[in-house]
Amino acid sequence: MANKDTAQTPLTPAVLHILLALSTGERHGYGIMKQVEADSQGKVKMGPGTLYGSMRRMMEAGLIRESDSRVDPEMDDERRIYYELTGAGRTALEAELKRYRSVVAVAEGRLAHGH
Amino acid sequence: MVTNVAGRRYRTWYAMLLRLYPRTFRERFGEGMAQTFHDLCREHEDDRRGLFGFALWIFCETLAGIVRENIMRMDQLGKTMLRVALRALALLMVPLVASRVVEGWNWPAGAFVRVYVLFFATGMTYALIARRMGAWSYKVGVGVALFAGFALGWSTMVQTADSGHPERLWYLSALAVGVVAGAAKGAGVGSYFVRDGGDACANCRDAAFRRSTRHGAKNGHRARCLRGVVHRVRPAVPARESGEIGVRPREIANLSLVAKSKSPPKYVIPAEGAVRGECISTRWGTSESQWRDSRRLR
Repeated sequence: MANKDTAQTPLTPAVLHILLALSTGERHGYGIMKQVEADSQGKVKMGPGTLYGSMRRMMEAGLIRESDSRVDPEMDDERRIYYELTGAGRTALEAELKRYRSVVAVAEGRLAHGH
Repeated sequence: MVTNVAGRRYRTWYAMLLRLYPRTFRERFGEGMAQTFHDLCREHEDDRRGLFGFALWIFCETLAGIVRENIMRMDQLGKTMLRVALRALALLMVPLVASRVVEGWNWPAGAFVRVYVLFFATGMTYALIARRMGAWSYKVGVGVALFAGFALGWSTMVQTADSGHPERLWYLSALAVGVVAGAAKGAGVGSYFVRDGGDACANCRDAAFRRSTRHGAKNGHRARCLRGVVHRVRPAVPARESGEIGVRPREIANLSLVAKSKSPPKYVIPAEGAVRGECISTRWGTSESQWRDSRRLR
């Protein structure tokens, strides 16, 4: 179960990117990494140390969980552990996006007022 | 499969690097990390890109993660040791840089090691003693004493090195006496702890009591601790058994506080029978360190 603060405090960029990468379905570590890179148009490159360190904290916070261990048909015959969002993870992601939207609204209002 | 020799070598090294993670983390994510690294290597090979720069970045990035995870799992003592070790290292930079800049400052390598040990030992001693103290005045006192000890150790080492008389190291015995005395004090030797036959508060279980001279049914089992605070006591609880740390005293109850801000706190001793089962506490029991500190008799 996610603690109450998780949904209320701003997420770190790494956590946000991982949540975004998992929002469309379960993925393994390498898949998350590639999805993050694609989502950010190559601007965010996450190494295994950051990725798995963040995932450990997210699992402890109840944002994601291991879903399965199976072979990725697009890669080789090695089994991979897949991760997926939990309900709390989806809530945290939505809360974060809502927070971003409000910040953007304020910023746009200020800029429009300034002009 | 990574067929490239360099790729296989990097993969082996990466697996070795992963062993530096805390065991619980490694068991949970180690395999996945190794596999991710393998996938990344293969991607680079398929694109015919060089592996060295990529592997170097991944190794550094993973190393940072290892440090982060290990620090997170360290207990308080480990964190203190790491902090002191890093500060000692920073202090060591002063003579290290000076030996490069100042003419005639030619320390052998052994001298740097000894100085680092001296820095670290002094810092650790201060950290270990100061963490048990609540009041800044005590911390300053400990700091001054340790600085004096450090200066003595330093000057003795310099004198010995300059003069070539190793017998001057006997000056360090003054430090040894201080260390032994401090350890004995810490162990309670010569303190006022009442071990056998003493009373302990039935509620807060404070072991720091004088022997209750008039305890008994008529006196309501009251005893005064060495801070001058009156406690309701239960003679059946030996102080030896009640000395564990971690039980916090309760709030003051049933006693009139005369002067809260003064130390030791003064309370009006209640009339016989006025204390109704509640333990009284003291104003210093607000944090764990202060609470521990309050248990050591001064």
